Amino acid sequence: MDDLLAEFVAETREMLEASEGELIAWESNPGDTARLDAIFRFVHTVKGNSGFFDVPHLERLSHAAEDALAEVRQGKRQADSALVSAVLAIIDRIMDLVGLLEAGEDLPTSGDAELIAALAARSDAGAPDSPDPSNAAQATDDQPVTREHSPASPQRSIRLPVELLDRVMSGVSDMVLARNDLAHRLREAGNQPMIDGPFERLSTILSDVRDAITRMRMQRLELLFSAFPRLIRDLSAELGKQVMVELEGGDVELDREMIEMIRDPMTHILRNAIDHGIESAADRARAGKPAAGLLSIAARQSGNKIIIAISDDGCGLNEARIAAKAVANGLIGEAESQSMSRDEILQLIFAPGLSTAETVSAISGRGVGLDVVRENIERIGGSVRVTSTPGTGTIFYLRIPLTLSIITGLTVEVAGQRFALPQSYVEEIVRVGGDALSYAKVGDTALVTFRGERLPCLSLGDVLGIEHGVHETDRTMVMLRLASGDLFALAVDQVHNSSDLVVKPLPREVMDTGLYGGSTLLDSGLPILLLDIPSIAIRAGLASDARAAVLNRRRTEQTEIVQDHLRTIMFVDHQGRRRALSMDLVQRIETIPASAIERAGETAMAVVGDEILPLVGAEGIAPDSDKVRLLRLSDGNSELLYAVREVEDAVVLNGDLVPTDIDPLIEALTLVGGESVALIDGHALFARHGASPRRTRNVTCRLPQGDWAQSILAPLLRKAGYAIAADGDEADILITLDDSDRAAEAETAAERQIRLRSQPDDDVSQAERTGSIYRYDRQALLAALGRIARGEAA
Amino acid sequence: MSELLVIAVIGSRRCALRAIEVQSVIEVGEVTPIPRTAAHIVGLAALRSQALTVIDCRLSLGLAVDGLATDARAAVVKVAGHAYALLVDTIEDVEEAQSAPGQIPGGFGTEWTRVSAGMVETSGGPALLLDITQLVAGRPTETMAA
Repeated sequence: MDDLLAEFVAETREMLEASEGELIAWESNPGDTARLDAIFRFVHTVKGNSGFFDVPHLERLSHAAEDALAEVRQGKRQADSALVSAVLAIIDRIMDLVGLLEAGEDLPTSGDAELIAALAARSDAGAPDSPDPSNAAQATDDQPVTREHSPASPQRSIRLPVELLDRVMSGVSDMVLARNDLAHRLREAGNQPMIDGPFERLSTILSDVRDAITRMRMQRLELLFSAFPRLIRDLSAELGKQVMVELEGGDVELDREMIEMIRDPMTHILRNAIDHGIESAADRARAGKPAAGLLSIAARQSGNKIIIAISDDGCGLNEARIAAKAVANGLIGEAESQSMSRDEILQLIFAPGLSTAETVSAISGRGVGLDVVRENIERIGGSVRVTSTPGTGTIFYLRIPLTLSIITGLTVEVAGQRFALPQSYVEEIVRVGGDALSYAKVGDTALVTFRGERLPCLSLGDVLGIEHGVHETDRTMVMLRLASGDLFALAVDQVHNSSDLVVKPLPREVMDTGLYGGSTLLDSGLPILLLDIPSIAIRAGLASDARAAVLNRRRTEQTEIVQDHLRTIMFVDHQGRRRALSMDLVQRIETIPASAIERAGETAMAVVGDEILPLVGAEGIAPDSDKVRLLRLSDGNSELLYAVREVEDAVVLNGDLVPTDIDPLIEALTLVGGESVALIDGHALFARHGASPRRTRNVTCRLPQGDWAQSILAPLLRKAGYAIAADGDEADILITLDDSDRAAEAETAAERQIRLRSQPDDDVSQAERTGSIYRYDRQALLAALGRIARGEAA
Repeated sequence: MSELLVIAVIGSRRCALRAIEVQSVIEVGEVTPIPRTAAHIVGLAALRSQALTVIDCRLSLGLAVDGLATDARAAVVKVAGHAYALLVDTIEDVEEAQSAPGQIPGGFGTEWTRVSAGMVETSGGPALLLDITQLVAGRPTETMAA
């Protein structure tokens, strides 16, 4: 029975949460019966359940509300704000009673009559016929209908303790680590088809499970937001103000525990906004604003943080008053208050013991200040800031970590030690010394100029108090953008790869440094530290909302300037790796059957048309595949083919290129859409694999008459890949010896002739030396042949 | 008084940890240093998929490490939900406590008194029973420095 009761309590709460927003919406649009249905269903279900649990008290209340709502549904009564208030009062009462039920306390009976009377009294005024038995009967008739509606929840669901979820979550995290470890060992052990296949499958399943588990802990912010319209409505009614509410980003998902943690701080800020921010209708009219104030709550996800902005269009914060109060309370000195910026002074409202309200009202003056808000938000690893423009409004920004314990991180290295940082902050990776970035030292501070912006630069070595392993002009800059929009550069020795990291919390002794957000294990099993980028930036004094606005403005101007970036074609190779190649190298895309590929050890050749070209990236092509896509690359002289699984897109690489030595064929790594892509080194590629196309139809040569030509010249030419034309056949190249064949010479164009002579170079005149080749000068002969074969003038 | 104790040697002194608090004794492999932390926090080491914070007990007590050998074995303990590896000179044995922890006149010296829950008698002689929370926290001045 206790279990059932707990179910009842939980279900009632859940239904109420779902219908709160509906209630408010219904009030603003009484004709919307769809909304009414949800509310009706709520009181109806409560009525049914309380009958079942034998709680006549609850039954009576819900019955009264149900009757009133039924009348409205039948059009016998107009919904007005009085009715809504009465229904809300009853719902509140129901929730109070449900709370008492849960606690196992006795239910007080007093006060119910007034609540029910409030419903009935208005109904007398609104409609002459008070609820009569026929109405009640009508309502009962509705029952079967609403019953069918009642399994309104589209998904089947069960209730689970969060602790159990946590256990499963950490189990899966450990599995991911064990998988990574195993993957590492398998790689070391080399290719093992017997194991690789099942392992691949295991990996896929594991990542699916991990996604699902992660989602299990997530809830939409709607759940939190749904309570706010009601809260705002009640508060504004109490204070005699008109407030409209705008909600945005309810679909953003957040860890369900996090939602609970931010409920109170957000409520407090809302109260504050209505009480102190938004002016009375009269004051607003004087200021030329619409009578109803606007409160807007917007949430969005930015990397691994959720940013919630709560803004009102009220009178704004009074900087002078805050400063005066802070001085009066001894928070800051008089002189200090003079030197502080407006932004700094505004943040003082989060300091303990500072309330600028002249009169302590029932709403905000409950002894809970914004300092508690800040404390609560910071306790969960978030931060809160305020910006305000006098006369036009105030915005509170809450930044809340997602607490997803798995994040995508970039691994960087300083002094041989690796650190991870969340990929979400990484804007670009730039090499010092490149054109894109200039580095300057001003005093002890380093500055970088990047895309026309002068940005602060931190050296990770200095931040951590360790010596950099490479000279400051050889470092790599990781450009990091904070949630506030501030951009800064972090100098590191080297950038490694980016991968999914399971973040584990660190003990307090380590967290106190303010440098680390957690630890994670590399594939090798070595633990590394995850850097807390916002905290590092704040400690270095790099983050401020005010500056962000300026930077943003400047950045938009900068984008007008077209940058000369590398145009590349991005593709996935047959081993599933993403690669980019300079567009200038790509001639065209060829498609051939796999049978046209010849493999010999490390190298592969492919027949395209009537040419045989070297093929790169042939590993992993299915032998029976009948369509293999190849990029035909040319450096102007030689050509080669690059096998690709899929051509993704033409991409302009505007991210900066980080040289790497992981693979001699890879020139650099860069980021495209947040993912790392390896740029293929065209030079190395052609140096290693490039070859002039070997034509399957050989170039033919007509030889001079005589034994020397047949026995000495012909074998040499054949060996070099030329065919000897039979007498009378057309030939590509005419070779003559000592003016042997004047007739043919006259017929053939001069650029397709090679004239040999018997005298060595030293014995002939300068003119003859350039016009002909000594017959035993093998190199000169082959060079001349090659020039003609390639279509160049001899 | 049949409480089990893990007997360890720290700075050549015989010390005892409550066996119930010690999860395991491991060989500490590669340790990742954590820059800008107190000196007694040596770094992070991995135990399966778990990351351990490695504490050098001798530094935590403000002892000089010079000339003290260590066998790289460490006791794994959990404080406030985080796992730590306590690096000591050596870990000797598990013994039964033969007395309740008691104080002695004159104390054990400032540093030792801070981390100690008192002296216990064991079959191998007296040992100082250690408070792992204090060991992990390190010297108060050090934590301030971070």
